Amino acid sequence: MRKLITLTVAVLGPMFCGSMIYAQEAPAQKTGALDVQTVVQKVQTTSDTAGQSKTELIPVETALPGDEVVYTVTFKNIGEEPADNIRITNPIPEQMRYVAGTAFGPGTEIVYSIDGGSSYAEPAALIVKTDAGVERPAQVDDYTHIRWALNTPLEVGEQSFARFRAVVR
Amino acid sequence: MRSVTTTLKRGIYAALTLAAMMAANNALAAGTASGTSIGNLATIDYAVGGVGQLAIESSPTGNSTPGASNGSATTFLVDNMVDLTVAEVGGAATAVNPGQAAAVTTFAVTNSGNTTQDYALSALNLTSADPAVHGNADSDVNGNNLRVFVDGNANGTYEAATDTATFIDQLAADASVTVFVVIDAPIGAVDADVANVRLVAVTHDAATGATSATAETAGADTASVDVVFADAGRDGQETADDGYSFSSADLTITKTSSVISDPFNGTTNPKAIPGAIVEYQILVTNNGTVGADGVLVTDVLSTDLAILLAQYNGATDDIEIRLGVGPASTLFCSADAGDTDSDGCGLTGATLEIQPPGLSVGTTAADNPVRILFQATIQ
Repeated sequence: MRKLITLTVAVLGPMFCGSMIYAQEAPAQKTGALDVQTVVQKVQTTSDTAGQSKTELIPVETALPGDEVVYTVTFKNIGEEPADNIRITNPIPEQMRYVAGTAFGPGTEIVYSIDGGSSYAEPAALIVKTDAGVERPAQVDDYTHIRWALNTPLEVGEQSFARFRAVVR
Repeated sequence: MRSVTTTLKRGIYAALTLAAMMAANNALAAGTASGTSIGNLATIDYAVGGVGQLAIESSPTGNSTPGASNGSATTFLVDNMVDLTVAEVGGAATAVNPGQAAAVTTFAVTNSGNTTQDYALSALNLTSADPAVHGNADSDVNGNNLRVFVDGNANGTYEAATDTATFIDQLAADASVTVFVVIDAPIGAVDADVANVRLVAVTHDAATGATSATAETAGADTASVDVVFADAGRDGQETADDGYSFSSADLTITKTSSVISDPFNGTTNPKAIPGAIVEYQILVTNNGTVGADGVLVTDVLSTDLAILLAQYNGATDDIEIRLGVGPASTLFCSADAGDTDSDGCGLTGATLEIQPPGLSVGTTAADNPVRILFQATIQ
């Protein structure tokens, strides 16, 4: 029975290539095993009366074109088993431009997509072919998705985060 | 690694299409439109005990329900960035003649913000205290009937019938519109005078028409769309200057006389005594930058003088008109009452009226200067 299900997933996989693959059924599924939150903030630097500057992240409700915001995806294992092979996938909103080099997550490998999430690679391996047939390295403007892959399992009760900065186009 | 590269290359055409679509969506130089809600949704997939689990989407407050559409995007709104530029078009002053009606200077108003806006327009005359425009300091000559019109058919040319709007209605982000400042040139202006003008454009909310200027949101960031002035003056209004350069005829008139003969000395050393014949020469020159048309020279003869007729052109004409240096040509006409022969010269009562041809500009012009000669007897 278990073998049959695995086969189904394997067949479905290629069909869903390019979008999130949702396993149709999984025996070990614990509902609500991870809690995932995304917040958007901006850096605010203030200086107090003594002239000491203080930098903090404050919530963003509105922003102007050109403003930079910080997206933070926080995830916590609220289940009863360690979670492994964790991957966080974040499409970059089309009105936003990723700020190069700002994606970060403790203990993660970070790859990017320039094709709407169909494929991912490290920045150096991302090549754009122009209409004229000329290949060039991808620019941050070309990035469509960011993906963080955790190197280690997330233990029960453990929390981590993935973060990047982007500018309002 | 090789397989990854191959996959990437295969996906490139699709990626390009997508990139092109995204570029189109983000083509606004002014930035994302105000009021746009920018959402971000992360998805996490993972395994437990080596078995893939249903992916979980993020939410602003935290979501743990697996499956698509159970999360919600973390959003913020794009504020209204008010930005505009007003620029003079053409880079040169508009040449104008004194008294000319509806003389036009041209401007461009551009919405550099991220929201469709209205703009109230006004124009004002500058003074010599204001900065020079196109290198021309204002001569404190003011345009009359100063008014502003929007180029209704976007052809860049002022047309009174078409271009009637006096404020800019609904200028989209990144769009630009031509605006004309129109004056009636004062008749009192002289050659080389300069009348500079300024166009002022003030941002208004597109919804409220020209009634109230857009106000910047005071204080802290609010949850709704705030207004931020991002224009050069940070006040939602900008200006540009342009000018009118007057070109006009500049006429000089000089009258001289010489005694030709007197009853006692004849033509030898004649003196201006009663009975003497005097020749008058009226010299008219145009030192301006444009020709003068419809020139009329009027000379009211003193009661001590009686015009002496038929002294020119073989004793057949009363007045000689020499055109140009040399002269280039010579005309003759008669001082008849009321100019009934319509030759341009007439003597009505004691008033001599002479209409020489128009005076062109320049010392080599065939009709500049004009010399008018006639003779009279001292009573």
